[in-house]
Amino acid sequence: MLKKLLSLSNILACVTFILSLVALILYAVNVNSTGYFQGVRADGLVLLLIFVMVFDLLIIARSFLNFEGILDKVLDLLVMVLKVLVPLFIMIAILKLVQSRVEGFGYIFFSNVDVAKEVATPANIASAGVSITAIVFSAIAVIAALVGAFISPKKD
Amino acid sequence: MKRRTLNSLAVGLTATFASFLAVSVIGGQIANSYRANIDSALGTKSYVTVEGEGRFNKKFTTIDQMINAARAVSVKEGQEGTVLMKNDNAVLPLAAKSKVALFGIGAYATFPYLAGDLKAGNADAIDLETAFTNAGFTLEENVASVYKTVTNKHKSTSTNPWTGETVETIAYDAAPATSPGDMVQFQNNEVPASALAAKAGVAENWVDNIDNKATAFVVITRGAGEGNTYDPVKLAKDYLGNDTTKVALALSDDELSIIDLAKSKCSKVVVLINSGNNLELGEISKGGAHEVDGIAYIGCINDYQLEGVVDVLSGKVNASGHLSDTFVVDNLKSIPASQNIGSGIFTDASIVEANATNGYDPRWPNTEIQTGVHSSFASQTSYSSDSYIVEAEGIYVGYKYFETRYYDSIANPSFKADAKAGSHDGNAWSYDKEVLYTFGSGLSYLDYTQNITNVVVDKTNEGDVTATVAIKNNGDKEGLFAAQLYVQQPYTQYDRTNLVEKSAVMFLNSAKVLVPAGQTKEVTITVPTKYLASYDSKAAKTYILDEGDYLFTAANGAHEAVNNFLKAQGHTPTSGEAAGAVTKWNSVSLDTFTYAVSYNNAVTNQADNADLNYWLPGKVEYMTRQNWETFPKNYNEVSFKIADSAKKDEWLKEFRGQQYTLKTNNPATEGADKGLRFGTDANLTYDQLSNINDQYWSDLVSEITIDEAVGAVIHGGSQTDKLSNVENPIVAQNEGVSGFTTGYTFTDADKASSTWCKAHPDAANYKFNVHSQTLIATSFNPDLAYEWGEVEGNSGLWVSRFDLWGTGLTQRRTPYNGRNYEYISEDSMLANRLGAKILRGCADYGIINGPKHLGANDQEYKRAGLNEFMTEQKLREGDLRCFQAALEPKDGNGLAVMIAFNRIGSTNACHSVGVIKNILRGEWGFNGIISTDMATNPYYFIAEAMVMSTITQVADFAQNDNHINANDGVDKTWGYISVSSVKNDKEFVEQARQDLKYQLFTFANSYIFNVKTTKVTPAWETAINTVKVISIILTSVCAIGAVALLFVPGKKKEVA
Repeated sequence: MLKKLLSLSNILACVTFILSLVALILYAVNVNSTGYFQGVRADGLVLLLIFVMVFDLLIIARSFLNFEGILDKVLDLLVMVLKVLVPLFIMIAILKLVQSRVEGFGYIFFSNVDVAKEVATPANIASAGVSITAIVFSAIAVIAALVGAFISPKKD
Repeated sequence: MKRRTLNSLAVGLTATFASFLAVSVIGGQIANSYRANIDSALGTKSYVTVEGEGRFNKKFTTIDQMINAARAVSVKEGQEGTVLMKNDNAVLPLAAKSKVALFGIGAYATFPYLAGDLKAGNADAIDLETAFTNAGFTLEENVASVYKTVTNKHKSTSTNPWTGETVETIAYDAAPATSPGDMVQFQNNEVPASALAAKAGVAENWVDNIDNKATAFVVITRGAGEGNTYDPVKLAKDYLGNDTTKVALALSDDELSIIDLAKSKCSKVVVLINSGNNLELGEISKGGAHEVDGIAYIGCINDYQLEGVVDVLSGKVNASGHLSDTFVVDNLKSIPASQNIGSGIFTDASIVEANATNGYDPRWPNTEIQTGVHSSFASQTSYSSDSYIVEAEGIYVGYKYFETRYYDSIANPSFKADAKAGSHDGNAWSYDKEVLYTFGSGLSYLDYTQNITNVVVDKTNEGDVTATVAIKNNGDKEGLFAAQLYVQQPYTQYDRTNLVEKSAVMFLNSAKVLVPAGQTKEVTITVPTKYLASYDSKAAKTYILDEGDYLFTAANGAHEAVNNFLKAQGHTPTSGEAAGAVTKWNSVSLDTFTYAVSYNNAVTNQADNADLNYWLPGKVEYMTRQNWETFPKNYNEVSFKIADSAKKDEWLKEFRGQQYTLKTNNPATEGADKGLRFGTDANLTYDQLSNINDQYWSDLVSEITIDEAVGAVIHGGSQTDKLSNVENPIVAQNEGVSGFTTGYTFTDADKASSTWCKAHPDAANYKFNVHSQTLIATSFNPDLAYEWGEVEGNSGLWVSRFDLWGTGLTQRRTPYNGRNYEYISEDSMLANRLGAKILRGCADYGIINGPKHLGANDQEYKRAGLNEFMTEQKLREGDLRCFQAALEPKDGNGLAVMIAFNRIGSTNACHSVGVIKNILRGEWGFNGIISTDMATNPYYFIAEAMVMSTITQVADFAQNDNHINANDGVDKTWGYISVSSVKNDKEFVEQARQDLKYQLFTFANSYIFNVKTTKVTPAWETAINTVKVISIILTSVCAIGAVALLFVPGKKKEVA
């Protein structure tokens, strides 16, 4: 059982799960902390990342379930679909996060000197930093998920 | 390869290509929203313009003509805007080919010194040193060498974060602070005399080598900018960051040490004031402890103005500039408006909050909304309502206060002008103790007189005052002189009873004329008669023309004008002398009807609730000249409770932006294609172009769908978007107050034929933002203002940009506003007259130039929500009057305007139906474009309120979102706005269409109608589309392959 849990596919699913969870936590912190992005929500992001984590758990669970015949094929198909959806959902989450932050990044990092003095406060820069960190963690999660998509949860 | 391995490969590839597809689809949508920004960063284009024949044509037909015109008007600004404030011991004009010593870091980094919005930074820009040497003067090299080492101007490189391109900029080791901060402790970077040797690495006795025959020029500089407010109380820091004993706008001890050094080593000393914010100059003025021989105001310069400044200092041209503001002894204690800046906080501000205790806002159910005012550029969950100032000075801003109180100290002793209130030293008030240099004053090298010889007053609704002024040049050279026309309106018992305040003197207009030596020339000055009327908000509730004598005079400044009036009335001036004639016109009776109508609309009260007494009766005593003891107190320290108001519920609605509630019972008509198109091939008739009420326009906008009509207004952005069924043009907005910041890129043909290009072969482009707003103000020359408008407008045609926020007209209420350099004056009529000419110059070439920021943008501090309480008379005769002529079709004919960030009273200026719809559009006849400032806070800038006030576009950075259904059927910014929620409010939808009608009508009456816009696909968009298509194909192929590999049975192995 341990061998199944430690399969490369499951490890990558775990990594994706953890990174997505971290990204979700960072997003929650970002939205609820003082700073430029306090209250600035990216619609659907939370749901997407929750789905990602659930899908990862299902992918891991599949490696422990063995059936015969068509049911096994159907489960294989389900895992295939989940392995496509996981990186896709994370990617969509990243894009939604970027979409909700791009104007703020513009103000904080690329304004002229006078506007920057008003906007580029330590709190706002920190807030932007948390957003960027969330994006980075999500991007790494995408890479892990994409690599995992190339790896079957079962061996021949 | 094993089947399972192949299957995994197919799954992996499906996931990969699906992710690429998501990036290309969603990423493409994001990129589309910021198309103009991406094009600007990458140097690509999404639209190409083809300019055809039309109503508007270039005046300057070659690039050399255009550049030469820009340069010429800038030099003139320096020549005509430099103000000689003090000129003792014949220090100026300089003797030809004499030696000059330039002291002060500002002499080597004159503000603004970095290219950007404020400064063009062209290859042929002239600094002070170059201006003097070009004029034949020699520099005192010991001083120059030390300062060049200390300031160390050098090139600095930075990397463009978007393109990776290396960008070269100019930097200094020591330069004046470009931004003072927003009500924070200011750091004055001037290096004191005692530290110069060490910083320059020279011996301490270097000063002994200074040529004592040199005339010293000490440049004193103060930077400024958006989001900045000088703090009136906080003591400044020195160049090392240590606290000093001086406030920001006082001369620092380090600056005085430089002046003293110059005085000790040079024959004579002239101080040049390089600032848009008035400094306290008592220490260097007559009788001051550090008195200098000469003081000249040079404003905030640009590429070429210093050439003109030196032309004045050298005597090449006569000094003909005049101060556009009053310089006083103590900016804080002497000025009534200074008693109320910064902000107070409502004691019970939290009752405005939306929460479980107060109740939630139905537009945002279960959302907690706060009340603090924060940054102008941050999105925040706040109504931004807790802060206020009370502008208790009323109309008495600048000279109107000082000269009126002075007048009353002589002519109306019962008004208690000599009371201690308002005296900076706590003793009895006197004019000479408070005022150093008055509005309109300025010395001339040539002796001259100006006398009014005739006045005709056409007292009809559209009539003019026409005055003739004779200027006699008593000098031995030809010279340019400014004739300034002033009036005294009668201050009657009616006024006192109804609190209609009157200044004892009011500037009306000016004109400049070149007069040969020994000769007299007459100049005619006209101004609309309606500006003689005063606003009576209590009794007549409109503009009134009092009965009584109206005195007119021509004078060198407001103080001389008052002395002329005093003498004519049999009084003896106690400060200065009378110098000119006075002509009288009599109004036989109180007139409450002639100016009660304007552009066929009734003129009546629109801002009763801008007065805090409307909400809390009796709480504010506005200053009145009938008792100068009403000098304002600091209302920031008074406790005001919203809950104490009998109109609390009404007041809460203003704070929360609930001026309008969407209706649900009157269905709007959906837009339908009628085949009408706004295109350059549309044959609009004269009637259609000149009359917005022509049926054509109503039919055109009726084609716009509900979604796009509302969406295009509330998401108007910085660039218009294509509307279905209309084919409207795509028009991008541009900055700024100094001219178009977009450069003109030279073509090969330009480089081959242009003299300028050949002289500057390394220059790839030319920037036309070469203007100085401060110096056009002190020129007092409406013709020069028109000339700048022409240049600004024509430069737009050269860079193919047709819409800009190209001038600033807000009244300078105090010296502390960090944007004073963008504005013109403390006096609303000077801004009125010059602003009208600038905008007319642009409009004559079809350029849409929108002045900033209408609606009393009196300070940058907390501007995004600050409650500004004032009387309606102050609002109308103060800030609004600054903009009025510029925007009236029969005067400036300005085609656009930007509204201020702040509240008028407690009403967001952008929500004000009274000011925007009724005054601006109704009374002034303005049919142009009205934009907000950057509307980043959706709880302060309310969509429906802005539509109903007739805003044509809400400013944000994104484009291509001219619709409501941007996110699952509801608006992404105001979630309660959707097609469903607005489609049953016909009044709202029709108002949105009307707002777009103003926009389209304006485009038709501008150069944009000459231009055909065609969309092209930039390389980045092609790349995104390519990725999209390939991703769809490959995702599909791989997905099918993966499923097939899973279900299609493979070959069975044969068993031997």
